[in-house]
Amino acid sequence: MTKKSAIFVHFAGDVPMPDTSRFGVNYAAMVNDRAAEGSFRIDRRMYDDPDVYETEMLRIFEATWIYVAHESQISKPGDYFWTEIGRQPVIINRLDDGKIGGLINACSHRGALLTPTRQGNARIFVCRYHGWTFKSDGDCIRIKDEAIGYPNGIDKSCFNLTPLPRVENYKGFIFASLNPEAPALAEHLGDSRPFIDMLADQSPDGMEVLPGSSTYIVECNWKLQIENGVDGYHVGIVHRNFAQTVRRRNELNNASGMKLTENARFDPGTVETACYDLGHGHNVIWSDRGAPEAAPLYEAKDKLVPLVGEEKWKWMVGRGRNLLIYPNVFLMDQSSTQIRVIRPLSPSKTEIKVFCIAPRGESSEARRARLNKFRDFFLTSGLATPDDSVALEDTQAGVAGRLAQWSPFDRGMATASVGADEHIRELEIEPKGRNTPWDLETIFLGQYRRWAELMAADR
Amino acid sequence: MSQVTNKDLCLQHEAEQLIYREAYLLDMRRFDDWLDLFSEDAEYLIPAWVDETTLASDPAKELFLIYFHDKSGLDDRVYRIGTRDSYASTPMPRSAHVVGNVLLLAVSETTIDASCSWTVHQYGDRKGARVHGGRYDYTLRRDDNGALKIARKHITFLNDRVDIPIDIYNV
Repeated sequence: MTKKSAIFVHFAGDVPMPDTSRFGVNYAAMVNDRAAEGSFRIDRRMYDDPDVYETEMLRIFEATWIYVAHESQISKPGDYFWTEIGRQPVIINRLDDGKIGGLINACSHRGALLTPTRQGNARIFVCRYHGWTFKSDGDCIRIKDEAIGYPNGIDKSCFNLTPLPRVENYKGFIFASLNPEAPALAEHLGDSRPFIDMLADQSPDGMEVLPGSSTYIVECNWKLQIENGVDGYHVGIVHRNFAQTVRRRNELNNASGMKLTENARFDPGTVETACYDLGHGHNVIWSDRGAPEAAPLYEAKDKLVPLVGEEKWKWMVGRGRNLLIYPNVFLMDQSSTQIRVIRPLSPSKTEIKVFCIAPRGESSEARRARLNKFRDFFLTSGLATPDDSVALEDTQAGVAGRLAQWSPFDRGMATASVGADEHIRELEIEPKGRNTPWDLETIFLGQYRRWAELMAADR
Repeated sequence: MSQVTNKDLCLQHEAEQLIYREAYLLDMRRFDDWLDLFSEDAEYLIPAWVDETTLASDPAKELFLIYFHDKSGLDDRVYRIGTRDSYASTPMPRSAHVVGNVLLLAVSETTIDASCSWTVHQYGDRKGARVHGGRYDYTLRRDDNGALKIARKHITFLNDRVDIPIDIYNV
């Protein structure tokens, strides 16, 4: 404890911070928030310090709501999905009564994982180590050689699996929390909900995650990953060669309709863009599409407009959107549609798992186009994501330069404001911050204020 | 096993030479020469894993890491690398492709189906040395001039949790 406090106490900056940590370390002071004076900066040590990381696991990943799965991945009773919340392995599954369950993925006996595969179907879980058996809701129903080991009998319910304190579903997106005190999911999602709806409501038959996923590891801190997904500023630089490559391809193929690779967002100033801090750390950035007819969803216009209205349709098909639901998931609706799940592995290593989500019942042409566009941009084997990953790894390497301590987040402060603009008036939300164009960095204040708030918690 | 004929040996040799040449040209970063090894309609596929034992099989319905229905997709990659503006590919890691166990699975008048295993040793200043591997399944086809070209290359990439960006030069 004394070791920890020795590292951090001395740089509280000009802002007096209450010391709320039971470790006596004022992590919140790493966010030097003087926005009222036009300055906001963060201490780069938060990107690679092991103590910061352990505390983040405890106070952020194991304390708030974490996205775990889409309901289409566990559609039938017994379907399970093994993932992680913070450092802890969990099972998300479909129970016999159709409800969604959540368990710590560890046998109550010695702690072995109960799932042989990442995804599968199991009406019961049989531990492969000593054979203890559990119902899908976690009830212990068999202890091998029970009568020999417990000749006087045993109440097996003592050995039920540990349920996750909270599991909730918002429009097919399943979130869980290890914190029984977490607020209702709807409250946590808050003003991000209309932007989730813009993806969730793209088919009257619901959305589905397509078979196959891609997992890649980037040697950077998880916060660099979540910055990057709502960072409009890098797009025109890091993805300049993507734009150049697809512009050439569009010309060579004389591409039109869904075959066109829409690329207006790579040319700053050609289309309208904006960014919003939605509160609770959630952010969204959007850019008008130069060619909405290139979107795989475009074919659904006649079906969807009567259901969702012109305004929401305009959002769905006319604007590319990157939504961060803090702290671990992006819902991306750009040229294709992606769920991107962020999982910290260490202070300098992050796992990213990506899924393609699509409207059920779309035409085979639209489905093919959606997958084409997905591979093009979103994968670590694509034309864009590798460039992000390596830029983030260079950033991670750079933040080791301890003498250069602070990263500024004040670009755009002169034009930042709060509340709704004309684009989102009908969404009935009140952003904590907004700015245009989308490459201004004031939305990151939302991420880091949330970080400071959670890191100051008494956990 | 039936008698091995001279024709069998020649076909084996011809297929292997093409496969080894492909690996060599990638390692030498001679991408334009590499492109010439493919037919205009060449399919190039790297499926994602659907689960621990199943590869995606239909690029129109399932996730593939890379799928090109013809050579133009490969051409895009070579163009992009050539811009020298791709963060991930500049500087490019060094590589050594090792291809082995070349087995001819089916032979017709104009085509050879060959399957082989591969590893790529990669070294870059930032990530150090990495080794990945898997299987190549080729369809080689003779063009009108009698030259053997790659008409299909299906790459099984064993890792479904990868620690490097993947591109045509390191698989």
